[in-house]
Amino acid sequence: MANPLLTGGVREEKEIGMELKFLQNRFGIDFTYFTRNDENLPTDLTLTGATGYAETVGNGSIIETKGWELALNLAPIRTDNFNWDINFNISNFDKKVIKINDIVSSVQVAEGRTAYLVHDANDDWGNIYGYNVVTNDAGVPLINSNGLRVYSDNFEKVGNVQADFNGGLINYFRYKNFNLGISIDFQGGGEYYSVTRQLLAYSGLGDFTVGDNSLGNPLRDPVLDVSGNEVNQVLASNVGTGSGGVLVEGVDEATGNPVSYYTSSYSYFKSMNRKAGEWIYDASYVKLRQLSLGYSIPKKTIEKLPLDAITINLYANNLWLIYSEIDGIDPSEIEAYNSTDDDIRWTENAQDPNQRTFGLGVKLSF
Amino acid sequence: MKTYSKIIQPILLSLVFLGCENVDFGDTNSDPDVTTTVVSSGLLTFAERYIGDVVTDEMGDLYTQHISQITYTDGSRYTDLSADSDYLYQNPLINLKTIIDFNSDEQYTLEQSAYGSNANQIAVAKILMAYYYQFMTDRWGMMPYTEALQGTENTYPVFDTQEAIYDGLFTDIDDALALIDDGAGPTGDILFGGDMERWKKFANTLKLVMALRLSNIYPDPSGYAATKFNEAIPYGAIASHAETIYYPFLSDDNNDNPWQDNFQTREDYAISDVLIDRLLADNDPRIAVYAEFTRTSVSLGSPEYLGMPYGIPNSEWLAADVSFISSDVIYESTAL
Repeated sequence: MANPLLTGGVREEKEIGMELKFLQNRFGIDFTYFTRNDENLPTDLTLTGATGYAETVGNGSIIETKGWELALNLAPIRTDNFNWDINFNISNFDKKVIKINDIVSSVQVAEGRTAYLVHDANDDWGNIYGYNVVTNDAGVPLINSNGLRVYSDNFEKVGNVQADFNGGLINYFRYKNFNLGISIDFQGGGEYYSVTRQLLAYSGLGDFTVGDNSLGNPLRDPVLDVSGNEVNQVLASNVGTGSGGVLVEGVDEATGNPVSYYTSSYSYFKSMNRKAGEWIYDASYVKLRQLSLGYSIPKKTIEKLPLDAITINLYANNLWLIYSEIDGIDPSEIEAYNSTDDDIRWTENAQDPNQRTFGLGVKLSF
Repeated sequence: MKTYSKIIQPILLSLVFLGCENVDFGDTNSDPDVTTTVVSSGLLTFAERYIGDVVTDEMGDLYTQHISQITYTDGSRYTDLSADSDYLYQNPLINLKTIIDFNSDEQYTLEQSAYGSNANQIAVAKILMAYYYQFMTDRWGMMPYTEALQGTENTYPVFDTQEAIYDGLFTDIDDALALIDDGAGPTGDILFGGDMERWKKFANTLKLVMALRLSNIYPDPSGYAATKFNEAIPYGAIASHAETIYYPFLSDDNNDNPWQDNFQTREDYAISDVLIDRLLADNDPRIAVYAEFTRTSVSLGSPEYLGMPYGIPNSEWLAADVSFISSDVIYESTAL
């Protein structure tokens, strides 16, 4: 439904910055603090079908962003033969949704595998929604009589994408004609939804779906009760000594008392499929993004050529994920899956891992 | 360190405000591909096309167990309960409301009279809306009705009770009948070609059907249902088979009978054993209208009817072994 009253939004941005250099430019600080208020932004509105329309566009969205950026430049060593430069930067932004519009208080901006990315009024921008693990007040999961965790009937907020900080560290060394660049980037905080992990559980291909349970028996062995009968799940107090299965602990959904079951690994891992609340991980990481080694051929050697300089450069990208919460999943490569806003990377949707590339470059200057 | 005193760069401070003026964009925002005036004949045709969907919806036939699914039996086991009503509000009903709005607004009445007299257009739109609302409340119970179709004016329309909707629809139909004048009928009318006499019959028949639906709630011979029923008769509900109202499907694929599509490449539906067994037990001659002999029995030289068992979870029945819906029902026009 067209909205004839639609107007453009207004962005008000304030920025305060400081750039300091000391010690003959060998130490520099660059600091910026900014606030950005977006008001009356147009947003899509889903209307209930009985209005006769499916959706319209309305003004009214208010988003407040505050953030800072800090860059440090340091040159600890500077001699004729040896230079060492360090560039470090770190930034943070805190984006809050004050209002969506007069009609709705939340808007869905992306849909993934049984999960949504949603902006909620009066909350941080970028919430992940999906079926969640139901817990008691103390945060202990409820367990049903099938020996499985209980999930919410409706989508709930299960995470938020906003990081506490992002940054990078570049070290650059030059010794005579050789130079070496090491580039690291990192993020602290923020969450993402991992579909790879979920599919590894569902398919039984993940290494965490094998191994021994706390009785010392393989997880995938049949669950046995105390009389040796094969069952799908059994109360831990009643389990046979040779039983397989996964130990599932929590509180009973009916009585609220602590309870634990041994549940067949097939049922257990299958039950977690499409429950986004099980697959939210910390998006913090540290990554060695690039390493490059260069050599400039001495001027003397190329005197007779019509060239000013020749530089040969070996480099490698995507080298080493130094830290991430989940082994093998790189939070720096998560996707803006189905998002109407390309900037919001919120899910790792079982895409192929990024390639590691190696290269050789030759630069001729005339 | 002495050099610390050599702070060379001054503190940089900046404060930036950005804004934008109201600008006249000329015709940038006018879409050259859309009409700027309301063509109510087009709205009417569009709205009437959904009758084809309503009368061929399989859910009613399945849930009353008149037909049964042969191989994939989910529908007949009540697994598809969450069908939604939005498509009716968002397509036929809002179009019909637009016809009413524009034919009632003095600013547009002259322009709209090109598509039939204003009163007749409003009457036809009201009758059709009543038809859709009755179908909807029969199927879904409580529905937004009095506050529906108001766009952003009312984004949370209340749900009216079935009783209130029926009450309102009787009034709507009476209003529509009272509006009909001697002017031209609506153009774009694929049901009756703008024949207002036929619309009167349609409206009174609709009233009759609604009264029948209420007859178990108001069984009294002088009660609500009977009163409405008796009101409809003298004003001319359909009185003979010749007056049966059909939705005119066409032969091209965009406008053909969806039931025909169901049987074009597949054989998913047969007459249910519930209906066949009852018709056989009663020696009911209508069986020949609804059903065909099973193909297997015909090829063995002893034609017989056999209904498809209803709602079985894992079916291994063959289409040749059960009675099909008669080709008259599938391929001919479908009565409203």
